[in-house]
Amino acid sequence: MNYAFDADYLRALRERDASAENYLVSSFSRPVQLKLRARLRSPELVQDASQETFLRVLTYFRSGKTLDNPASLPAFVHTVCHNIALEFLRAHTHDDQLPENAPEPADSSLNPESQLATAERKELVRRLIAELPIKDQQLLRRVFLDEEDRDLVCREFHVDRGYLRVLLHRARLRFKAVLSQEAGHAERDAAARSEKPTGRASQMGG
Amino acid sequence: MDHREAIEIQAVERYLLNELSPEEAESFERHYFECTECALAVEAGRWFAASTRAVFAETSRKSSRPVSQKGHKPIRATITKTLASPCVRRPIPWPN
Repeated sequence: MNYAFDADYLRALRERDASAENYLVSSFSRPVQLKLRARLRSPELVQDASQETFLRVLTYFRSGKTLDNPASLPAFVHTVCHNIALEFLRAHTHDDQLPENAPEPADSSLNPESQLATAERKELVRRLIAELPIKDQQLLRRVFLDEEDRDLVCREFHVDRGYLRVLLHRARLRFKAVLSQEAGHAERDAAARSEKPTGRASQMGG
Repeated sequence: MDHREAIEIQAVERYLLNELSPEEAESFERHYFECTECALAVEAGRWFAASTRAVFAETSRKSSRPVSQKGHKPIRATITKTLASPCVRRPIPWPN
């Protein structure tokens, strides 16, 4: 069920409507995760902070409180998430965090299907990288893998920071387009499989 | 920050490359809490960056591996063995 963030929706949250609460979590999971991942590098801390964010938001409404402007709900969730990120940063020592140059941690919550998708994404990235000129491949490598000083790398490659942003922007758009295209193909294939009778079924039918 | 401004300043790329000031980053984060398009763009960018890092890391692991671990015989051992082995000539059948 889709809700608009209006007075009725906030009333439903105050009344602990399960559907409204689920909608809140599903609507804000992505931005909450993105923000927390940008601030906290340990995946466990991200999960804990994410749960804490939703717990606090839901507790706020369950306690009978509301917002003067219902449309400000996203800003409210953001503020709660921001405060929790700061609290977690203060509470956990630097030793708990992964070092800056640590590889992207594997998401322990990934199910096998998501892991397959990750392998597919890597394959897709491999193809996209292969299509790039050698200079751009080396530039991406130095920035993403070696995490070298970007100004230094850009100077070495005789490009400015704008070039790097445009390179990332194009690659990201291409990546998104191919991902959506492949998701579309997969959906069509699945639909075709579900429509097409299996051999045994057609034998039994005929 | 509104969507138009986010596009104009290339907020997604700057955010992914940590080029925004703390205030700008917070303002952009506040924006993507209400803008699904920007949130999806940041997510796609993170996937791309993480996958790119993984692909490059795999490539460098493979290229830095010693040759003998790739399944090839060490070249010096192969040459020594070849030189040491007696030369065997295959008999050529006599034409009838």
